Amino acid sequence: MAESTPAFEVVPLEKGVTLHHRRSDRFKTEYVRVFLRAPLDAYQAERQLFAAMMGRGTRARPSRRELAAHLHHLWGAGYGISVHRMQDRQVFALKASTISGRWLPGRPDNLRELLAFLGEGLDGPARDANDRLDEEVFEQERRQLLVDLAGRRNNKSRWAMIRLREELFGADHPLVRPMHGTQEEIEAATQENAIALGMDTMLHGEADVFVVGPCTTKQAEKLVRKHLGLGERKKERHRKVEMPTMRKRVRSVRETDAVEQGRLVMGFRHPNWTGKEDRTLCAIADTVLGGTFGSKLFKNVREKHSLCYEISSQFDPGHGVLFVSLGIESPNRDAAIKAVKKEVRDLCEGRLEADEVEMAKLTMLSAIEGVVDSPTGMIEFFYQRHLQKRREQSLDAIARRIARTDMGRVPDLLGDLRLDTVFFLDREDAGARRAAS
Amino acid sequence: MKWRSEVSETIGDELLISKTSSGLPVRIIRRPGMAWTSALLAVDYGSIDDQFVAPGRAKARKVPAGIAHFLEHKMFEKAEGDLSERFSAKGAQANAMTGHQMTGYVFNCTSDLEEHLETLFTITCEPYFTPELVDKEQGIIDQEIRGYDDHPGWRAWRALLEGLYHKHAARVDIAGTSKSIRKITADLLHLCHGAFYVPRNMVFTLVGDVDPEAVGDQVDELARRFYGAGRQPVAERVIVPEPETIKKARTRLEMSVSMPITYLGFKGPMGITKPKQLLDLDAAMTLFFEVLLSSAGPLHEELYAEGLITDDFNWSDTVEPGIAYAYVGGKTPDPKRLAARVEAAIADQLAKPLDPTRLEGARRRTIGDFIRSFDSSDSLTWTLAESHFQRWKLFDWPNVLADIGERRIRKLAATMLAPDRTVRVEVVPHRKGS
Repeated sequence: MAESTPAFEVVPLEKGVTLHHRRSDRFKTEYVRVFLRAPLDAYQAERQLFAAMMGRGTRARPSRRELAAHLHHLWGAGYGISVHRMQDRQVFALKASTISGRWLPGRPDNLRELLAFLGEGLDGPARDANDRLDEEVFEQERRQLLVDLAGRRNNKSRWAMIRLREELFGADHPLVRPMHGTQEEIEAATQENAIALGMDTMLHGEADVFVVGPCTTKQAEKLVRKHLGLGERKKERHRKVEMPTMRKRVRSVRETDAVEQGRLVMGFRHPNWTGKEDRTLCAIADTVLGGTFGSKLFKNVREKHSLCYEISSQFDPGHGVLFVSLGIESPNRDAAIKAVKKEVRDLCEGRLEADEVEMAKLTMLSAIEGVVDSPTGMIEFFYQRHLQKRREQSLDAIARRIARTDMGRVPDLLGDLRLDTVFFLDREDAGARRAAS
Repeated sequence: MKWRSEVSETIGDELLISKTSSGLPVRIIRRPGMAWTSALLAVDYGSIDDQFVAPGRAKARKVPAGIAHFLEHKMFEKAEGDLSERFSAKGAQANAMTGHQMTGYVFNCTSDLEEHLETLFTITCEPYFTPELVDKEQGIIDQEIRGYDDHPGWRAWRALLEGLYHKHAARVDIAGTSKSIRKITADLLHLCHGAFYVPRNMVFTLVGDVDPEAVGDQVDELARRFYGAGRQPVAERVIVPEPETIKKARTRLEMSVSMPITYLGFKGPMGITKPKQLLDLDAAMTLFFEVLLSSAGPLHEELYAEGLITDDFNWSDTVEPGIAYAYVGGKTPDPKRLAARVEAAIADQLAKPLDPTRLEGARRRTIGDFIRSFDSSDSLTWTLAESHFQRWKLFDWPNVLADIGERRIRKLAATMLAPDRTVRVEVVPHRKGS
């Protein structure tokens, strides 16, 4: 039975600043997350560089060594800054955690120290009296960002997915552009722009602060107000990303690389998706298709046809796109496409077995019930829901919604889902191997 | 069942220890308020156990590489179908893992614990292998092997072990090779299952908000049902003597990577099996590397500033009975220069005292990591199994980290980091057409 009280107590601190607090004494660790919103524009390289510079030092601890030494002193406190694409926007995430003082000699007030440290972080990276970053350090982070950009090719499954998305929507689409920025953008980024854009988000981006720990909401509010100093800011004016129109005919792209295994990714799209469709129903349908060991793809494509080891699906309910990804041998490409298409068609036309639906719902209900064991999971889950403006505030309400969702509506919702693009990352020597076999 | 308890001085958690009438060790940590319960049935049997004398046989037998992993895959399949679906049907999550020394079957659930325990024991203790099912699995595992072969980090680690060891079975991939798994038959799977999957060679661990008495009673009944009450013989492992020297000092692989990756691997002393020695060496290596290589020290800062390392610079040590090694590395534009700098820094640090402030920071950080690990029931069940098979006490770890002296850290680290037992692996970008 999932808990019926709201998962987080929500306290508006200022205009555009909200505290989400969850009191829990069952963990050894206390967690704080600060999320700050920015538009999904073309200034990704600058924001990434700003975030990287925040990880290199603060005004009070201007070098990475000093910063790391402080985190070690706090019994291995975790600290990281990243910039993500979430629900058609960019989000800065400052993540920090520390061992609760109850378990340590002298019972130190680690949460207070951690929030004070995050307060330093929100003041932006270390700068000199002229508000300038250390040029050398900035160049080091530019170099690292270029390495990260090039390194996207190293994980072949992820690279195949990136290439599919480029083929689906176009390489310059806001949902596809590299989160690091392009090579040209990274090379052209200046520290002035990075500071201006980054500090604009720190000072004016709509902020959500999540705290999970044994303190009361009042105590958390007091600590956050005192140490984070997040002033009033404008409410975000969120713009939904425009999606390109669907293809009339399926596009198939094959590229080769020095790989041992081919990576097949398929993108299915819905022509009239608004983004306001029932997300719970979509999530259950996705779980039926590829979310468990008993899912359609796992049972039939992997176990029955032995076509692959890895197979998964991922539905993007914001844009009506279904991705299916699998690792296969080159000669199995056509058989795999056919098998996946059959499973997707069965799903979309409502050919769902009662036990498949029950299994999917139970899997999701267990995940909902058990999410309380993972503070970071809770925070991510509820922040995503907060961005989507979902109504249910308690796990029990979410669970009830899953349980009562009528899967008979699947054909109405997903019936028009069509295969749009297939991308296959093949072995360089696949042709030769086929000829020889 | 009779219980014994160990209590952590650091965090106050209690470990309950018992044994069933059929000889299966049981370890439980209660975590009141947790929604998930994690339960693991682990076998002291992994990929390195490829030569053994089976119970009742006179001669040693060598089995194909990858058979322990293959067996783990096949245990889920029974006459009535894939039993992992029984977990999914009730919303639970099941998984299994094979390592060099251990195989484990785990589930996480929020309800129906009794039913899931029954399924866990049925999966693990009741073999059902047919030639058709073995044949089908060969295709799936072959794809798994090929998938891993495209991971540069995995390939580098594999090459590192091949360089460090002459004969030790750790030099062969846990999953075997496409060729070796073709030699696996239903009969061989039965042989391995009978040889190692016996209660006294296994351990049951659980972490969650449960009644330990009730769980203990059910586990006792299940173990008796599947194995009877008597002691069962276990296979005798054949230990192949491994020289202290390394096999191959340099390995270069070409792969489709954006930038070279290099790892330095260090062959530790062979044959350490005593629990205290294992813990001391592991603690010494953890603290030595943390002081020397972490971003709280000057070496990391210098290497990063010079562009010799990137954000993925990492290190690790493995200390298990009979096998100990460590590695340092990551992406770098200049593998040779990075290796030379790290080797020189190690030699320099072994010769002079560790900075006391950084050592204190390293101790705090690693003790913090230990405390934090209690927030993950799933990973804790694996640690409990590991500590049981390696015969060390879970709650001793933070004390060892806190108490080990500076000189002893360096003395033990020197046994692991000898220059003549160092290998280097480079993964370099593949040239088209080569």
